[in-house]
Amino acid sequence: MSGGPPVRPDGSGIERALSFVVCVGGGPESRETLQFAVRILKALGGDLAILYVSRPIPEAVRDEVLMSQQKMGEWATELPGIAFLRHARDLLRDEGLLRLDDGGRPIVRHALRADVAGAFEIELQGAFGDRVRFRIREGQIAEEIRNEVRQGRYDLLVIGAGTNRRLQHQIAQFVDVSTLFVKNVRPGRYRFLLCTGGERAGAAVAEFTARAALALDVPVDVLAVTELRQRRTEAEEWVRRLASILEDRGVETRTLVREGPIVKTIVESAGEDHVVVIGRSHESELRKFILGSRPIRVIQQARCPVLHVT
Amino acid sequence: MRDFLFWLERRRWLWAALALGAIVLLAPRPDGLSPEGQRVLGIAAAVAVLVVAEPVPLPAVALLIAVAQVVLGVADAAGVAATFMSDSVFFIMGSLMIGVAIVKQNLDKRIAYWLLRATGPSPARISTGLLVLSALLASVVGEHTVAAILLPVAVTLIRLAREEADRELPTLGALLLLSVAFGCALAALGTPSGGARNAIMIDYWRRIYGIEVTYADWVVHAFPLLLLQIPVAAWILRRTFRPEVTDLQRTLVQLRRLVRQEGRWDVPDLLTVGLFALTLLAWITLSGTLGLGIIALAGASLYLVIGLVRWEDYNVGVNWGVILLFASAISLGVAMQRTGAAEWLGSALLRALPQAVLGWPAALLLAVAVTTILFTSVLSNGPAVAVLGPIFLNVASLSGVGVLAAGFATAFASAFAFATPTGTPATRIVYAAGQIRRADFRRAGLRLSVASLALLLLVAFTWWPLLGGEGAP
Repeated sequence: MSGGPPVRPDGSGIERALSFVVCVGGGPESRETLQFAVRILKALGGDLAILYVSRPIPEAVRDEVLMSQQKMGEWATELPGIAFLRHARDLLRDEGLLRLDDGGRPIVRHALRADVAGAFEIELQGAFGDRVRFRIREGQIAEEIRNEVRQGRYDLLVIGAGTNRRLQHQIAQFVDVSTLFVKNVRPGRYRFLLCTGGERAGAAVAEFTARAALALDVPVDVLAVTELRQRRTEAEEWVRRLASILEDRGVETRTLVREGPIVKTIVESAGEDHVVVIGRSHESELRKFILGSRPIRVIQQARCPVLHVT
Repeated sequence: MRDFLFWLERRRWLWAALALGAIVLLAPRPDGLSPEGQRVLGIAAAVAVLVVAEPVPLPAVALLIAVAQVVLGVADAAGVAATFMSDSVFFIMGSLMIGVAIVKQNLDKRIAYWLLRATGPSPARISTGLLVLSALLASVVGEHTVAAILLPVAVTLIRLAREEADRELPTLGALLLLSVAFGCALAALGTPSGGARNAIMIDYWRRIYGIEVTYADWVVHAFPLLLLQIPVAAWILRRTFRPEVTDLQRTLVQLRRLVRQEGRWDVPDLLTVGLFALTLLAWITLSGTLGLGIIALAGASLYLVIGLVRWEDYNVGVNWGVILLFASAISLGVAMQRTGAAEWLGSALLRALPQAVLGWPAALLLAVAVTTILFTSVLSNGPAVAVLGPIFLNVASLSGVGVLAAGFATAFASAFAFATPTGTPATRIVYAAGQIRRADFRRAGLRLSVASLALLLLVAFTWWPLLGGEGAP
């Protein structure tokens, strides 16, 4: 990653430059996703890629659509993806995330070009020396995001959760990166709800949460849910272990142990004012493929953003 | 494992297609259906899913149709090869090549200039102008080509109007984009060169019943319907979408400035139009003797010989995979007819229809047209006509309704699927621009589909009998 570790305006910096990809579809929810991502990016810093995946062109009319798009270029009319990315660029500029030239225009590292990974890309200079790329792909959304993540080596994918449960399932199971599913965004301060509902305590997830919580300056509620009363003591032990990791890092922490159906209890505990943090399920891939998993169901049912940590 | 599961997930419609095909193949064979006929129906069922969901590239579907016919013993290799190529496939190929030659010239800006001079700044008049122009051009040049030419004009108008108003104008956008989409879609029935499925139907009439339908025959049956549809479509669009702005004068000034940069008509522009006019004249006067396909290939060749296009333009601009798909769809339709599957399905349909429908040709034509619209709403209209054509021709033949009338009803109704963006090539092209919602198609499209059905019956029972011959229902 070029530009080296970012240094935030307060000079604190972070351990190394993170790399984010924010996937937007061009609809009203995309603006919400982007604004939420900007809040995180301003806190954490790092390289940013904004990815627009346009709907696949039906093969039966592919050549005609491409001809038509070529003609639109002759009319100086932007394609929908470009138009949305221009809005995204303006938002980042207004938020102070882009380095500007003397005329107040973003500094372009390179103009629109095709890259070998099958995307089109424009790159601008970020405000703190980091990279800001605007990328366009065309095709089935889950497949294109998967390709993008594989080729881009990102640390975090941010995507609007929408209402497409199949897409949420596909992203959670098949995309190999921690993913923030953005939904029902509201102004004000969130709390993290770090969930552990299974057999493993998820120390790596706690480490990730601690890092994010410190950067964003948000408190963390650590929640363990057990379906069996007799396992309550065990659940309390999980919570203590995770809380100690967070507290050792200096994160303000609260612990919660609840009994009940795991997914429902997590969703109800999260309400609308948390960002749920949940680790990847360790069930077999085949089982997840056919039946889903608890994290996938939390992503699908939650009324607040969900961070799915891999 | 995860990669494998993802691959399975991406190909889920392929498995569904194979499963459906297998179910049809392995099901107990009904009385009256030959074993080969059952296999053809199995192939057709799988192909329908593959064409709708596109889990594999469409040219692969076309190739699999050929392979499946030979492997399943429906026909031998030589027989399948023979059904893949015909004058109709030449016609589709030549028409698409001519379309590329036309798109390559910058006629869109000149067309836009004349259009806006005629309509003035009223959005409603611009909408009607776009609709009429799309319809008249698409009826002869082909809906794909005209949609590709006129879509940028509509999108540019919307962009300029939006910049002028400094706000989103979704209703104006829907009005202008649907004017292009519906104009092109409904016009595809006007002449054989309007859409590939017209050529497919002409092929079936010739192969199955030995009936030769010339370009002029088609036009006299179809054009009155098109001329009735145009004002109805314009009225429906204007009633459904009342734009946010009522005067686009300043937008037009900007657009004219863009167009004026193009300069006067030059020799290649004039040659392009002249050569197309010559091809059209030959289609009208000589298609009975030379065949539609040979004339189309002659036109496409002349563009190359004169130097108006390069072979690379054809190579890149023509969707060869779609030509292959149409060829394979015709091959499948011929197999359905030859194995008796079409006749069996036709008989089964007749048995399922109420007695009242059988005794009333209008009801039968309506049933044919509505079924075609439903199929076309999910299946691309070329393959839909290719699969439904032999079945409906058999239904007509068995029930005493004219096969020409049933064929026309099937081919025309395949242009009536206005309520979904996937219904016709033109609506797909416009939808792919990403500036219009599915709901907009539904709002205006349903009304236009119903109105088009009524007009079809009106023309079929008042105009076609006057033409004599076998066209009467």
